[in-house]
Amino acid sequence: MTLGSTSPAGIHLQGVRKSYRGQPVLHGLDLTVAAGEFVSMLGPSGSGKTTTLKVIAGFEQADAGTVTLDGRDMDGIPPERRNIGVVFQNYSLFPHMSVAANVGFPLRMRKVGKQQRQEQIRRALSLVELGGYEDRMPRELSGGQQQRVAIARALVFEPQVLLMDEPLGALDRRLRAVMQLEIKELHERLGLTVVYVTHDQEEALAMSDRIVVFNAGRIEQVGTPREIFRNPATVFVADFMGDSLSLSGNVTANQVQLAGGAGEFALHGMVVPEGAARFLWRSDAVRVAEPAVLDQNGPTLRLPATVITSAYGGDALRLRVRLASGDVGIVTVRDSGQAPPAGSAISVLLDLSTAVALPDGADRYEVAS
Amino acid sequence: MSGRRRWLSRLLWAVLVAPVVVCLLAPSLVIIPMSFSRSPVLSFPPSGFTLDWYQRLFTSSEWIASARNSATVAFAATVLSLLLGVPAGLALGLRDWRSKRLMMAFVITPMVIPTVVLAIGMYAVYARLGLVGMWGLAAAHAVIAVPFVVITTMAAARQLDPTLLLAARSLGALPWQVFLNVTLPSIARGVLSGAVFAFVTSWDEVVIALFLTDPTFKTLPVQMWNQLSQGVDPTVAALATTLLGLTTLLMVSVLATSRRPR
Repeated sequence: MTLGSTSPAGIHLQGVRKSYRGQPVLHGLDLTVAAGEFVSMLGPSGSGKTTTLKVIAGFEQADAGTVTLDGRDMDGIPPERRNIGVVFQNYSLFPHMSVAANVGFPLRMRKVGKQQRQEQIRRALSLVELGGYEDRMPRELSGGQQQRVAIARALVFEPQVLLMDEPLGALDRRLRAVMQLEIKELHERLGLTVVYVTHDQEEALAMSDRIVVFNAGRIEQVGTPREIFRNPATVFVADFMGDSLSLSGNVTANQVQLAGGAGEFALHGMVVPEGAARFLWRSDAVRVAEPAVLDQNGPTLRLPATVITSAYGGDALRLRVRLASGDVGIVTVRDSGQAPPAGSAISVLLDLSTAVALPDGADRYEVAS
Repeated sequence: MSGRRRWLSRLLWAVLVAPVVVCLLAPSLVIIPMSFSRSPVLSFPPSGFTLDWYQRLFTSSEWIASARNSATVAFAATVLSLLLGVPAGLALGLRDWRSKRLMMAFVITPMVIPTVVLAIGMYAVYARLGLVGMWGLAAAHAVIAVPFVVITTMAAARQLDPTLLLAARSLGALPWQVFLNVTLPSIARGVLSGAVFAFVTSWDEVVIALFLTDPTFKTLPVQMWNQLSQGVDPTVAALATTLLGLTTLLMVSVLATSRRPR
């Protein structure tokens, strides 16, 4: 098994800018992907992640900045000479070619002899568990099978880097979960450098060594999935990475005044710059109690809240709640067999030691509703 | 009940369609029995049966020469219109650019300008350039055939997913290899039907041909026209029947291949 054994390459982007018709889409991007790393580019649509991928692949030229691959400057090098495998969301198999002809295409372009070509096609197809499908036409395959063929085709010429542009976006949820693990396993087996574009935070968390969060043509944060999820650097990242409950307030010395005069609490050793700030908890880190439960001592806040709505989610209930400060957030509680009706009063228990404190900026991620 | 209703709707359909079929097809089909008639002039109803007119057609050096001329012109016009029309169809079907609509309107003008007007204009210009005869006629026919090629190519190119072209590049194909291996096979059906339309357009074109041919170089429609204006010899009917058969065969084969599920 030699497939993918060529040494993986690192990717380095420096000051990459790109505009379309005067509209800037990338504002001076700096990013380093280590050889053999699995990096996800995550962000809402229009945040620049796909444009970045196109610049790396050579489909788009950056207006300014440099892209290096394995230390070599890619300026002016067309996509066919970059030795990068690309997998697209809509599979992009050549409809008039059989599975074998599709997988063999990059080898034919490289003038690989027929015998060796067949051997490599066979190996690539067995890698994605599609041995025996050589003579099928793409239209005869399911979406998942087509995407596997596309992956085999992008790997068969042993590229140094594999770029994937929302490769699972067209598949249903169950199949997506299976394919996520398959792609991750391929990455581990072949030791490839993978850059993976997605707008699905769960997918990014599940697969990546590191996640790059994009927002409006800039990088908000780069970090491991755990860092991104538990220690978001900005309010945008915190909101984008999933359900949460947050309090907005004003920090003065060691004291926090909650917005709307909803109360105040001590910082208990947290280091937060003075001024407007947000204190954020992941939905699963918040506990909910009956209003009658007594105050606890120590670094736990107990705040009254009103249930706006609830959603049943199998083993858990998601409650959308409004706090006295006006903040609206989502908390997750175990399903006890009955959801609290809308408008009922509850208490939320917030442990300051699990809070993420962020300076409150204007740029929040708002879920369109 | 439902069977009865279906039968009724079929009857209604037939009643509506029959006059259309008769008015469109009967005038073309009436020529077939006339070509086998013993009568020495074109007449209907035919009397007797003979293959003399076919024999005369296929042994006449004049008819065969003009058929060869027509084929040469039609072939050259097809090649020219493909060279011009396929790139134009791709540019119009694959990309968005400014003044694309204007270009589209320009490309199809030969379809909406009356042929006689075109013919007079071409005669005036081509005669001055010495372009009367085979090449002049081929160029003129290419002008009227280009819109067909552009439209069919454009329709095929619209179906082509542009990421296929990017995928091919990323897999190591140079731009011309992408064109040969991906673009062309994807639009082949459109190009082929455009080519057939172009060929047929040139093959039976008479108005421009009357202006741009001379006694030493006549195409089949011009020869037919001359024959009909001199006398009414059933050889023309034999030729018309032969052409009708060939054209039908060609069109049926094009339809049969384009109907195949993708």
